[in-house]
Amino acid sequence: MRLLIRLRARADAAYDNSHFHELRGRLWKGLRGTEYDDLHDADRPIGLSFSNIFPWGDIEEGDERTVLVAATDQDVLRAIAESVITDREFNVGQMPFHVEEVTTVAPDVGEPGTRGTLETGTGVLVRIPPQQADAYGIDTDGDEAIFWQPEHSLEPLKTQLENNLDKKHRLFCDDHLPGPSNRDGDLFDEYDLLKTFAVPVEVTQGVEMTYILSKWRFGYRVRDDHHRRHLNLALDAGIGERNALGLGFLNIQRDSKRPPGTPEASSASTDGGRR
Amino acid sequence: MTETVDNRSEIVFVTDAQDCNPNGNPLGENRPRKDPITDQAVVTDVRLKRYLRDQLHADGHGVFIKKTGDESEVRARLALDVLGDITDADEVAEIENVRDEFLDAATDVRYFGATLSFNADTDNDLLDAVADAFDGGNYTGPVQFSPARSLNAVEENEESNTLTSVIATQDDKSTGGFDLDDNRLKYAIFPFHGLVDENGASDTELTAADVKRLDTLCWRAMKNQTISRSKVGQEPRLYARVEYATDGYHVGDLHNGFDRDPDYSKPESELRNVTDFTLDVTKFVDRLASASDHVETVHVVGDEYLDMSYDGERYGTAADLADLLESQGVPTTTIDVYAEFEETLPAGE
Repeated sequence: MRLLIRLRARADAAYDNSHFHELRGRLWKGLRGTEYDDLHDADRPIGLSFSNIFPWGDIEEGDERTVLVAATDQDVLRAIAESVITDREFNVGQMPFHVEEVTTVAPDVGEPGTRGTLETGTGVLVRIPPQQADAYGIDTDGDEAIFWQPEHSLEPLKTQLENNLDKKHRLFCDDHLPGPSNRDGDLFDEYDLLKTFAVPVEVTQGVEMTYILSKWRFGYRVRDDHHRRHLNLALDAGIGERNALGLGFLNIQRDSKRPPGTPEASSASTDGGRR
Repeated sequence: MTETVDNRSEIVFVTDAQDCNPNGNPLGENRPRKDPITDQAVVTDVRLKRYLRDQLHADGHGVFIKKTGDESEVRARLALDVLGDITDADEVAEIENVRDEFLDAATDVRYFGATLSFNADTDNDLLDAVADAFDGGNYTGPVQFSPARSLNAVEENEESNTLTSVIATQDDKSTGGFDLDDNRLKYAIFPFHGLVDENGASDTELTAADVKRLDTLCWRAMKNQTISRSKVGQEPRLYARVEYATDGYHVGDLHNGFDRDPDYSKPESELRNVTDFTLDVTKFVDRLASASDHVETVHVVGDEYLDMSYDGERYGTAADLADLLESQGVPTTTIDVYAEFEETLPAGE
């Protein structure tokens, strides 16, 4: 489930491409003092991800923008919603907004047999543990995790994404239900890499790191109810690492969903939330 | 029009709700419906039929009751919507038999019936023509479901400061559209009961194909129509449609054949998800076994996570119900929901 927060610009502003730390700060403001405050420093996935402010582009006073916040726990969303409704000032760095409207949306990849495409609204962080570098034939000269890049091939990326989602499944789904690695088949049928890019990320106050991220379109066909749950979990919790920083936010590509028995969809366009 | 269904069917449909509000009462601050004496939760037949109608609509079938509003003009407009691409009163008059056309298109009316009480004068010629064409009257639905009472006494999550109340205190722009429900049950499991009355089928032209569609529709509706917002957390666990061979015969109240097995279930206050519960199917199976001469077949689908017990012993999961019934001499047919449902879609008819 996710919140759709409609914003109205209170002043002209240049679009700040590296605003996700400030956006994260604004969203976390809603969790401060609640039972979810501890999640801020949790050393594990917390089941929260969010889009950038979209659409991208310089902002004029009165412009409408949107931000999406997804979570596995609707009580976390409730806390954030209460915060942005109670205090409608929504300032993200040098971009001042007012919260106009907050609604909930619940995207679903569809029942078994449904085909569709997920796309990353924000860059995906995948790191390969150094001890596994040899197994993938990756040269490494230290103990640091290796940021995935295209020359590493798809295999380590698929494995890391699945392992990461496994961890989220253990944290946020009922114990009796099998996680992605307990089931046959890949998460996605198609891995369409759009680009890789390096970006400075303020991981904690005053600590900045350069991450290598990638953007994707993932084609899927829902195999069964378990696969449906896994993909919907990725929509709620984000994919890859550091989702609470605003990385790995997923959307269902608009018009891409094709229920069983329906013909191929025509050209698809995005439903926003892209970084 | 295809021939109407011949055989009577009796349906039991077990669903559960985990950490959600399966059926809020708008007259009671949307709190889950509950029997205050027994603490059993209640889900109305209206709620179940809403899911089924929504799934029919999602599948592309014509649906008459799209919303809960019952204004006469709205109903005429809904009827017009079902009838298709009609733009003026003359086209309504040209329809040879408006009732047949309507029933052919309005799938939900074939199942559940409808009241056709249109306002005679809506100041809209087209809507008035629709009202005149039908000339009032009702369709009595041959498929009747009953409200379900949970097999366990339920507990509610303890939340007080609801988001609704926060919104209500805002004095500027409204922020509607929320459906983050604070009034949630920890766990409840519901046995619905339904009857397909072949004698009433002719009134709405309910066909055998319509009845077969229920075998996948109920399951898919509970999967697909509960995935959003406050309804998330509900699952179908067991569906059985007993198709009878003997005219006018049915066992009746088969849902009363299900119980919580206290020996294999956690105490009611500790129930949190399906793995804490064991469904005792002894009475259900025995009643069908004693009536097996009247049974054409039992169409069954069950969930692999709902444990069952029979005659005091564990007997696999709900997915094994067909085997259990067969072992007691009851003929069964296993439903493969996702292999079969495409045949029930409009394009496949």
